[in-house]
Amino acid sequence: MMKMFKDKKGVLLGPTLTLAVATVIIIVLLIIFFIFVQFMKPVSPGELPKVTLKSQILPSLEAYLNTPVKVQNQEIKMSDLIRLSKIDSSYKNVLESKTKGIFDKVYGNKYRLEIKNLVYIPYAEFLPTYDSAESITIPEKIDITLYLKK
Amino acid sequence: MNRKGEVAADALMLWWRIFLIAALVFFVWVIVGSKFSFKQDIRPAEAALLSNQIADCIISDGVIKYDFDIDRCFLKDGYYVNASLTSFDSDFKKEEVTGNSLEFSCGLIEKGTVTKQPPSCARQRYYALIDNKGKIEKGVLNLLVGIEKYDENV
Repeated sequence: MMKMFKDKKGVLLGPTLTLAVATVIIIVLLIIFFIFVQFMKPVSPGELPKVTLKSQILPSLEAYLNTPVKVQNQEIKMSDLIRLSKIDSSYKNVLESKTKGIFDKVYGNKYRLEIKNLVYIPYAEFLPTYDSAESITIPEKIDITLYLKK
Repeated sequence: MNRKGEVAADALMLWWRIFLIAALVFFVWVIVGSKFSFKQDIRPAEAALLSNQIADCIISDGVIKYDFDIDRCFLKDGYYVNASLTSFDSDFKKEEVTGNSLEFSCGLIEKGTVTKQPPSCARQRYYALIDNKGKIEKGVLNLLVGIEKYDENV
C-alpha cells in the first residue's frame, strides 16, 4: 500500500489523494446530514386533534357573525351589533350576553371569544392555554378570535 | 512499481470506492430510518379531512338547510358518518347516518379504552344557523366520522 504513495512516476498518487479527499468529504457530509436530521421533526399523530379543532372555528365564527339578533325591535346581524357596540358602548352588554348565550351552548367552558378592545368571554387575567384559534376581521378592522380547547 | 503491484493498487482503489458508496447508502438509511420509520396511522388525518369536507359541503355562509343531505358529499365506502343538527330555538332535530355504526367503538376510544384494531374517529361540533323552511334558527351541528379500514391504512 505504501508503495503506491512512493511511486516515482506519481502515476497512482493523484487518484489516491483524490479518493482520500473524497472519503473525508463524504464523512463530513454524513456528519452534517446526521445533525440536520436530528433537528427535523417527524409528523406527530398527537397534532391531528388540533387540526380537527381548528377547522370547527371558521364555520362557527361565520355563523355567529350572520346570526340575526333583535335590538330595539329591529332585526340586525351579529356583525352589525359588534360594529354598533364599537360606536356606542351601551350595546356592549347586549352583545356580551347574546355571544355568551350562543357559544356556551355549543362549546361549554372550552372556548374563549375575543372581540378586540370590546368583549372578552370569559374575562380573566390568567387564562388557561387553548389548543387552537382562528380570527375573522370584519369591516372597521374589528378582529374576532375564537379559541378552542379539547 | 511493477505491473502486478499496479493491478493490485487499482483493485484496492476500486474496492475502496465501492465501500465508500455502500457506506454512504448504509449510513443515510440508518440515519433517516432511525428518525422516521415507525408505524403511522393515517386514518385520523383521513377522518379529519372527511369531516371538514362534509362540513364545507352542507354549511353555506354559516347556514345549513333543514333537509341537508350528507350522501352527496363523499364516497361512502368504509366510512361511518353521523351528522346531527339540533336547533336551540325550536324542537327541530335532524340526524343523518351512513355506514356501519361505530358510535359505540368511538365512545370507547374517547373514554380511553384500548381495543384491538380500533377505528379512528373525529368528532366535531359547529355552531350553525339552520334554515328551517325559511326561518333562520340558531343551532349546533355534531359530526362524527369513523373509519375502520385498519389493515389498509395503518
